[in-house]
Amino acid sequence: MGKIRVLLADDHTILRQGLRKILEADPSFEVVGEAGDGREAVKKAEALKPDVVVMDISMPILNGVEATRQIAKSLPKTKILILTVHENDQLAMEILNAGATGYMLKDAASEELIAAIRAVHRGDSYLSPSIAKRVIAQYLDFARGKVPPEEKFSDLTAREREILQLIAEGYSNKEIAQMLYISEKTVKTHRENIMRKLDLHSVAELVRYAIRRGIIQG
Amino acid sequence: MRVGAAHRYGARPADRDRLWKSRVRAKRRMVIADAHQLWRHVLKCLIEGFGSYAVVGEASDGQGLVERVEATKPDVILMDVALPVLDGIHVLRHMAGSVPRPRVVVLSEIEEPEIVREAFAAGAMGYVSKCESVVILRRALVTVRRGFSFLSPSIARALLESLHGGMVSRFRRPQVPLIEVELLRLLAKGCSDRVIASTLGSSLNAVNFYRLDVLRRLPKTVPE
Repeated sequence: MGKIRVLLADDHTILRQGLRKILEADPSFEVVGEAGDGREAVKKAEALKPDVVVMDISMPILNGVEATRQIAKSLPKTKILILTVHENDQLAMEILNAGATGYMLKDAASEELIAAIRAVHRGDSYLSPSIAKRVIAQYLDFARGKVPPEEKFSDLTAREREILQLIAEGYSNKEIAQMLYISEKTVKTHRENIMRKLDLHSVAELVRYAIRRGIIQG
Repeated sequence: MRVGAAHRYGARPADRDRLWKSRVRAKRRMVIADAHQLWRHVLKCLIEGFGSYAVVGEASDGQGLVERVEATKPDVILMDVALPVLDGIHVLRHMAGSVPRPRVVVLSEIEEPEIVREAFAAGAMGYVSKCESVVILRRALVTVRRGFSFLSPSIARALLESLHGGMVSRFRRPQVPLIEVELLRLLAKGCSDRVIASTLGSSLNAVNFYRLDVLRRLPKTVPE
């Protein structure tokens, strides 16, 4: 059997370099690439077609949730394992819905990371115990018919979510237009739609919303 | 060649053993503190790979760090400032009086100038962003070993921005001599002390003095 080809996406370079060293000490892994933000992760995943992407959630430009959504859509065979410090169950459910099949916390041993990569590569799921407990609780609520209240966030399109993060990170319409290769006018329209759909009235409110949702860090 | 090696390590096994032990002892003894086990493991692997350090203790919170430091008396500490139970700044203040004093490098994702300033004021000698590469971390360790301070490029930039206009509305703008502004600019570019000294036409000692002085001048309080 060939090596498991892994792409590492995390904005902490030292952690990436260390994980590469640990994974490459095991002959069954090959680290084919690294990415420092979500957009780079999507680009490199599409170019390298790795077996597994190990992905952080809090990343600049494009966060792990949206990057997961985009990779899961364009590369259905690539498995995504989330590696994060967030013990937030809403975020975990959202990213599992977006297409990740593993969710582990950075407070785990490196042996656990290796086991988790193997599990998602086989096609199984891997959840850190503390997250598994919350996911099961949510599943039971769901099974008993307690449906969580409708979130306005799900009304947003993928592009709108992407732009929401960039606005919250402080980029101007012009800068966003350049990054996404669209016109400034289109960005302005997206911005208006985001504000209307989320019922927000200022950039300050939008930033608060983005922090509360875990789209950016406070 | 074999003769040379035998000469160097001593002919008798007892001599060889003694020399080998002294070489092991010569490694700098380090304690690592980070809230996350994966980070601690990664750092241990990377740092032991450098060859000149032995990781003698690990801690996942500030209280544990204080205990490990008292038990192992390390030469150097690599720590995050965001630690549970007792935060890193408090740990640094707690250790301020200890003799001999370990050299401390902070490795954190926190880049706020006021936290960086507090860390230096409490005795840290280096501050490295977690977004940096291993090369920068290694340079930080080498720099503090020589007795100099170290700021990683993005940290230096954040400090520079807080000196210039960036936070004018929040802080009284400090009076900074031109040479120190120039020094921060060079630090932000990631220049070595030697390069900075030759660019500014000063000695290495002067560079170190100016660096400390810049840190002293940075704003001390943040109005909420």
